[in-house]
Amino acid sequence: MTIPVDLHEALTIEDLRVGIGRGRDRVELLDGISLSLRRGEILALVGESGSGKSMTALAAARLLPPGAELGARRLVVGGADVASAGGAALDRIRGKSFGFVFQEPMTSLNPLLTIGEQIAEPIRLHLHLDRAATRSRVIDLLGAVGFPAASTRLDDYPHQLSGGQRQRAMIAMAIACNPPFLFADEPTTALDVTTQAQVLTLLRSLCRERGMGMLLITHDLGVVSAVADRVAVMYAGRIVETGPAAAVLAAPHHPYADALRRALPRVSAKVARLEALEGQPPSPRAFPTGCRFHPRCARATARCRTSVPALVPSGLRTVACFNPIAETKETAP
Amino acid sequence: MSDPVLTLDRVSRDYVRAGRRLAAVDEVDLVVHRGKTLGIVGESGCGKSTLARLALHLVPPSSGRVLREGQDIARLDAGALRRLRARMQIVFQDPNASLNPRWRVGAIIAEPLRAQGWSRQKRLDRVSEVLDLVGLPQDAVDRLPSAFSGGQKQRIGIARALAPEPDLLICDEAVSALDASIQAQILNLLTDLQARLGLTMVFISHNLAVVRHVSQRVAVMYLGRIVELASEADLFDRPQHPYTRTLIAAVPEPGRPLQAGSVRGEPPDALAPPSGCHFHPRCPLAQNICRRISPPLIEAASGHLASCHFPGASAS
Amino acid sequence: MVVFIVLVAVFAHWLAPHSYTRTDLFMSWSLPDARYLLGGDAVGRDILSRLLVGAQVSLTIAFSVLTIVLIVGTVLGTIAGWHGGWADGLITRATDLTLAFPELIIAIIVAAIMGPGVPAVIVALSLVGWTGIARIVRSLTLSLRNEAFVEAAMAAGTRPAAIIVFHLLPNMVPALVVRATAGIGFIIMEEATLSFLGLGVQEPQPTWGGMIRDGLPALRTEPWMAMAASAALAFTIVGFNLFGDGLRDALDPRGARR
Repeated sequence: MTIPVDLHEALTIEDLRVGIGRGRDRVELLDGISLSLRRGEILALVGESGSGKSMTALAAARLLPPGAELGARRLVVGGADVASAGGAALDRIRGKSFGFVFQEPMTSLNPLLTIGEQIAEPIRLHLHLDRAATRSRVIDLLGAVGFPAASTRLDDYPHQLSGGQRQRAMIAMAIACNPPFLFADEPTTALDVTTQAQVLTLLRSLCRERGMGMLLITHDLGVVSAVADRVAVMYAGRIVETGPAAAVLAAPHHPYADALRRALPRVSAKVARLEALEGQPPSPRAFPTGCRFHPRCARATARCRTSVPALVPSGLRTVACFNPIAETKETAP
Repeated sequence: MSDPVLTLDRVSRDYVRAGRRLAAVDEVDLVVHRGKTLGIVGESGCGKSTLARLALHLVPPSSGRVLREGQDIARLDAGALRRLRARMQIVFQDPNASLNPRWRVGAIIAEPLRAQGWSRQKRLDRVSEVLDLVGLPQDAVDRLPSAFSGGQKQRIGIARALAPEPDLLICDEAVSALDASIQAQILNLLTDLQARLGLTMVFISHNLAVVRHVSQRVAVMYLGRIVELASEADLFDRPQHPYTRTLIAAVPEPGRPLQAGSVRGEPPDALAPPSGCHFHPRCPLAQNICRRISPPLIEAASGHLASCHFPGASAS
Repeated sequence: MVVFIVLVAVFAHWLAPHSYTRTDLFMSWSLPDARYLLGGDAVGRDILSRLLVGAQVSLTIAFSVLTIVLIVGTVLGTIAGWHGGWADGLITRATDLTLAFPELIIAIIVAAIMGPGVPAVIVALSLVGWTGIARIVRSLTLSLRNEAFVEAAMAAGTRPAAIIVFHLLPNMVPALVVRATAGIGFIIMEEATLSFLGLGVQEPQPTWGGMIRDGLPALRTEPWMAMAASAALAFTIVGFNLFGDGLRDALDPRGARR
């Protein structure tokens, strides 16, 4: 980590598109997603189920299921050009240029291998260390993710660990080769709230210490505010707002981001009534025309039904809305 | 306060796992008052779902009594128990699993009515009424659950629970499987229904914010025991038990810094709970007495019960 | 296919061009010709007629056994799975015990008591067959009773018997349909084995299994009888399997209607 952290790009996604099916059955799941992250930075991608947030990470990691078609102007993850890479090259990139942490630590770990063996796997593949060096590196990693008495836990099987420990082992595996970038897809959703706080704190300090960029996928605005530097809000396969996490969460400009925030009950204060957003997120087979949020939007006008608002910069933010909530300097084109 | 709808009197429920006794619920005392919502929070494995099943007599207690308006449920004969079932209903967590995929929505909602021996015409009328109540279209009756979204399925589950006109509704993680915008709709529906129908509710969830939102009184559970019980405002604004403070601090929320430093370790194995106060290995305040003696659930402030040797103390 | 097979079996006696018992030694092992469309067997009986009447006998046995086995297996399986405890222990022991006996021993005992013939075959095969269904139903019951919708039904106050009939059984039907249609072939083949040993259906009554058995010694020189009976059997098995798959798909609530 001798290179100054902020000069390094960790992730660049430009105009990412994913679709499945042909002809009349064609469904566009992701529509022109662009994101960028520097090393050491944490970007939260937030949205409800079906918004395409997990799909974005899977597409950028080239982990899409067969049948899904991917298109992107640029797709650089952890310094590696992922868009053009084929089978063997992708295998060299995965694990070395980026790691991936999944939601369910029980199903993402192989029940028949010890966690020591599983964490050693990417080290053996990418770093070609000898047995002793690999072992000491695995012990270091387990210590780094907060395993007490790491050298004694090496030979444990996943079922001998608690949920939080499994997720820590999963994180150790993802960062085993010191990748410059990490995908974390709902990494704490299956965990209890006290364990979640520990794992979030761990992820944040790992990013800071190692100069690692992280795309954190979550449905929970609280998680966003706890760890993210910046946030991107997704709705129905598109990004609707991006910006510094604290600013966006405090005063969203996009009506959907605002509705999400208002629908949230708080532990710190009781509100008389939640401001629920009516209706439900559209299915990809029936995305509305124009702005995909317009059928549920109180600010929608005729224009929202026919044309698609572009993501327009406004200070540190970008917002895709014809009638954003705050007054912005620039007017939408 | 008077008029208890449901009383749990030193209720325990044991299971045997791997030859050892596991106290899923351990000598719990609770009173649920008419027209109010009692919230129960806790992490996975704390026994809150078992508590729901005990309250409904879906599982019998190993010891202690569950009283419905002063009457021991275990002593009721089969017919009286079936009539009582109509008046206490439950909404489950996962609407995909709790609705029989082969039944039409009309039959699902009418099931508790059929169990009560309602006539066909009365059933049809009532189904139509509760569909209105939960905001579902009338033509839902002829469709299968698979035709509905997650939020609508949960409305079907609520309609089924409300059909036999219960006065007690138990919600077991009823909004936990739902997206944020849908969760708010269902929470609003539940609070509206409570006000309109005068329902008494027990709302069980791992989500502290949701529990705070719907409850008037809140109980915190840890390893089968209630460790704190107070009004919603007292419990969340002036928590007395260190575990409650830990839980509240660990909730990530916009505009609040995350405080993970006060939490140590993870919940212990319920098969081998720690001696004395179950929380002592993770507690920043633990003293010798905490390792030896289990603190009783007593009044730590006015109307505010906590099971801690040092309630209200702060770590310094 | 299934409709065709069943119709043929039901109207076998009208359809058969000749008596299935009349022997004509001049026609012994005769080649298929205009009179005997599928040729003659060892004693000169018309193979086509015997095949058609055999369909009736074989399918009667198959359906009878299947009905008995499904009813007994489902009742005992649900009791074992739902009630648990001593009832489960008793029924599980009974299935283990039945499976421990070779089915031929059971068949010999039944034949000895009842005398060989169609009823003996049905009883013998049912005695063996119920265990498979009972095991499947028991494990389905165990997994289904943990489903949230079953718990919901209990919370609604629905009686256990009603929960079994209205919640558990409909969700078992697809698995049972597949198992039952696949079982038809097995039953016909087992009946052939029993008949081969002289414990089953007696001459001159024809069954497909019996015809395959009688045709085997002459397979090299006069293969048509064994082939005709085998083809009929294969046609039936494929037919019922397709029927079972279709039925299962039609019963799937996700595919039923949108």
